[in-house]
Amino acid sequence: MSGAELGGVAWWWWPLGLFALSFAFGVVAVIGGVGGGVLFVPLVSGFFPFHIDFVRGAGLMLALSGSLAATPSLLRGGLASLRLALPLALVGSVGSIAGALLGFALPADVVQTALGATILGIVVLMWLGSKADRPRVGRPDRIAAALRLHGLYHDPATKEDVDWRVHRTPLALLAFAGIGLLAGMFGLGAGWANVPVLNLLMGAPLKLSVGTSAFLLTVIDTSAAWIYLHRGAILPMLVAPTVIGVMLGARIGARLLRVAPSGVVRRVVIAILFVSGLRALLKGLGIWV
Amino acid sequence: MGLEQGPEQSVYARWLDIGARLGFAALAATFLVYVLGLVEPHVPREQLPALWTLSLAEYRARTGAPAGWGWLGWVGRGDYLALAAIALVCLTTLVCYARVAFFFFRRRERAQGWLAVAQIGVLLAAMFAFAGASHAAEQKEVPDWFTDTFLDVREDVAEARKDGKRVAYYFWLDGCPYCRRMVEDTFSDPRIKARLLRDFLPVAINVRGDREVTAADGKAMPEKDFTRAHAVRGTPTVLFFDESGAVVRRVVGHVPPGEFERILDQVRPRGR
Repeated sequence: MSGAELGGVAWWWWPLGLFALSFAFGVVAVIGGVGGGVLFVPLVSGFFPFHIDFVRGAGLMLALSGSLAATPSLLRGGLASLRLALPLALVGSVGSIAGALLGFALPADVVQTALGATILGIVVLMWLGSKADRPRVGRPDRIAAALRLHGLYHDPATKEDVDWRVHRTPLALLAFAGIGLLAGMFGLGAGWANVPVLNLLMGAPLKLSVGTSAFLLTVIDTSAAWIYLHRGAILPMLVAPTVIGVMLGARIGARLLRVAPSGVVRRVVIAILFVSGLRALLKGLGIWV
Repeated sequence: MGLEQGPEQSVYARWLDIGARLGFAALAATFLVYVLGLVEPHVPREQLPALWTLSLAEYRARTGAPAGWGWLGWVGRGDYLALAAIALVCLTTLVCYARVAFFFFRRRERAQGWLAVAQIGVLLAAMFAFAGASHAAEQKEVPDWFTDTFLDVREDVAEARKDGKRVAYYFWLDGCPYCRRMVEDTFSDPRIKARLLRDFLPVAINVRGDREVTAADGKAMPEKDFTRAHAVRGTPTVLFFDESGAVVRRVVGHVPPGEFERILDQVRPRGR
């Protein structure tokens, strides 16, 4: 579909359509256990007429808004650790600024191709889906010890106090620089990468990893968002309905979480990601324009 | 509750909660104002479907959208009002970090305090360092080959007459998309540039500017009053003055190079 073909559609259909789509993303994302941004950017850039520059901007704001809304209660409940996030967010946000600048410097088809490849990589990561509820951690490394990256949280599900510590911090810092780069370049939330690094690499318990990942997104995405905003890639007509839609959808999703078949939804999410990742890749390569 | 997480988490959570709620409320309210057309947007809403298919560079060239902090001066327009609310959402993290850095230092947790300070530095760099660079590159509102004069109409007319030329006053507005098109499309055309330099004395007047202009009757006034005095109600506008200092032609809006050249033929100085 080209912009000219779509010229006959009244302007207000677009924010309305984005609102409806983002609402659905919000519902599905919560049940499927992914951030909305990772669905939004490949799907909207692949199948809608908006230029990828504006889609990346909207996707970034979507991921940022979702994490801003969720983080206060996660921090209060001890399910996100500020201390653990401080060094990782710092490195991640430097990466995201570099990624945003790189994303604007590269031609659109290169960004689209790289986005497709990244999304297909995420599909593999989600398909494998390895995670550990409470990984074993031996001696913390020097950085973790110096910054006191350890703590105790109460798990309301098991009614237990969980003692946690982390290791391999230098490697994790390196990983977060890369995660930030991808998040900034494509406007994706990076929960899909944050959680495995925190959980499998650093050895943080799964629940703490998920919570801290949301906190990290508030910082990493904010840094890149300023670059997008100043470049003019944030169009309120696309961003506002997207943000409002996904936040309302997430509320409904959270309510449905108890009754929805999350395994099925997750497989549907993976299938959607696969198709949209493939579409992004082929569009970028000029095979399916 | 977190058991060993420390009170800084609660402080951060409280500030983040307030900041995010304020930001989202502002976003919803300003978007409503924008989408309902209660405040005139810079880019008409009905033109958006033809514009958001373009690359960012093309979109900005077509709409004259500002880069860097330039948008701050445009919050009186519906679309940029909503953008300001988005910026407010983006500001939340910085405020929370500032609060928690203070908290860490007060509790003598220097390592954490410095990490928070470094994060604030990175956020400020994203907000200012890179914004400034791109903004400076975009500042081309008036062609650099326009003449800088003392903005005295009588003097300008006399100087032009001495060289066998006439005066062309170009009235422009910062961020006006049609002014941008006039500069990029018409004034950058080599034939137009050559004609304007050969036959005219081109001078730029900022319609909201405060530089002093002396009108043909000798009265001094700021640029914005001079604009009003000449009944310039839209931008861009070009006024051509003859050898006696009287306005002989008024050109309103963006005019493509071909048409502008025909106008130059009609208003050219005698004997050219």
